[in-house]
Amino acid sequence: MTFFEVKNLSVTRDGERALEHVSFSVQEGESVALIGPNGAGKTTLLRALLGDVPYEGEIVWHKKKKIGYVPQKFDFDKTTPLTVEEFFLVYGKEPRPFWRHSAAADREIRGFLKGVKAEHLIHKSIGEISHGELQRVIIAQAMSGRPNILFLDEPTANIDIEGEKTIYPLLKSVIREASLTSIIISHDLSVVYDFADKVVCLNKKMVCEGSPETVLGSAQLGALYGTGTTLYRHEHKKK
Amino acid sequence: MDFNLFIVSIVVSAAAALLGVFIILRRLALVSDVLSHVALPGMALALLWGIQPFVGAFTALFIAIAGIFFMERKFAFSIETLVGIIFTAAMGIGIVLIPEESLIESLFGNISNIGPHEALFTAIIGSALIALTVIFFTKFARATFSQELAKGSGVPQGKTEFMFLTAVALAIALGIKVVGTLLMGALIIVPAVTAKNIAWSLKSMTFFSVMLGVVVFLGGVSLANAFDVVPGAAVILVGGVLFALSLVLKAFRIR
Repeated sequence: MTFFEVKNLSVTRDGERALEHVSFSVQEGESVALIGPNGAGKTTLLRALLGDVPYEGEIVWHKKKKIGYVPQKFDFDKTTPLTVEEFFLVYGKEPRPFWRHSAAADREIRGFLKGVKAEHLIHKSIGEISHGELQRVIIAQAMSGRPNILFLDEPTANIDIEGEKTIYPLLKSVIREASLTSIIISHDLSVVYDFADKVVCLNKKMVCEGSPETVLGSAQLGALYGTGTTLYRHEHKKK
Repeated sequence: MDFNLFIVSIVVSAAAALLGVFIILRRLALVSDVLSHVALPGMALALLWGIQPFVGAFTALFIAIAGIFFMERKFAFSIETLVGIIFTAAMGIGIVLIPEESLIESLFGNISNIGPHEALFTAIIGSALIALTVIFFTKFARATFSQELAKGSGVPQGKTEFMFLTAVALAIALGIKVVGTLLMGALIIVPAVTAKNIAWSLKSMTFFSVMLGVVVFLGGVSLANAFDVVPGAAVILVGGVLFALSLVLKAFRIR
């Protein structure tokens, strides 16, 4: 069943076209990767799907959507005294009283953290934990709204390689367990290969769309990133 | 200490320190400092026309805040730039308008003549402000740490932002008569920064900030009474000493 369709979508930002006549559809349960060079409009497309930027064209949702969103960067003052638990109370999808919350709310927050193997961080300050741990917390926060579709904007952009290795298998299992539809922006094409059922390549316009096997052929990549680009696959060891 | 002054001290310092938590975490310390100067022309006109200085101060602050809010969105100026421009203009107007004998009082505050009506008025408005800030605490916090995540949550940001700025304006207008325009900003910033140095969570920071705010204010005002010095200055000096102590504590914790 089709989850949503994007029809002839264009976005203009500051007088410039950020996206032009983009059309594609996403099936329920599908993992879709958005790829393209910097400034290709990938984040803009996510924003349009979130309803955050005005656009021309149509986005047709065939199912009631509940979006979980993991933004590209979460910039904050490292000295901020905010605990992981408080982070959930502040940014949780369902309102929970901040000053005194019930044991049930506490169990629920622990449950979400357990899903990303971060339960032990609950009373840590978010300034103290590593980027990789923080990213896991943010993924848990996105899952706390019990979404049926997850948007991930370069989920490993700020993480070291060790952290990156653990994030993707984790995301895969989270998505599988909750049978989520997911849209991911990634620069790492080998991740795209492992992760996605479908790839949409953007360079302001739609350049290609299809399965990773067909799209990541060198002719298509050449069209997207310039000639001479080929995919070098480094294997992520499966545990 | 006079009972009226006691009530006003507690309410004003608690409200300022509570909002100060967000001001500090948003790194808007200078903004609040500078905003308090904007109250000057409002107080000047209030003095000239014989109306409550609070009303004049709040009106001027509200106009400035509304101006900042809309210009920031319309012209994409940074909030610091806008505050800088409005502040200097307001200071100029204020100094031109205020009769010289009232100027010192407007700049440094006066605790000698707080009547029962004024104390009651401050207590009511201040308590309401504190209650509303506690109720909307999570909303204010959402916009504080990450605009990105706040957007994803589907809460309209503009409304929260405007409410927050209005709350800050109210807190400043309430305290300005007592500590004056020059030092009101510090009443918002100093307790919150000190609290941040010793806090381990947002809850503890908020709690410490309010406690410190009240202690600093009452301590400063008592000192001012005892040694017959300008109250605003005494308040800030007590704040400075506690801040230095918090730094020492922080240094030990880091070690």
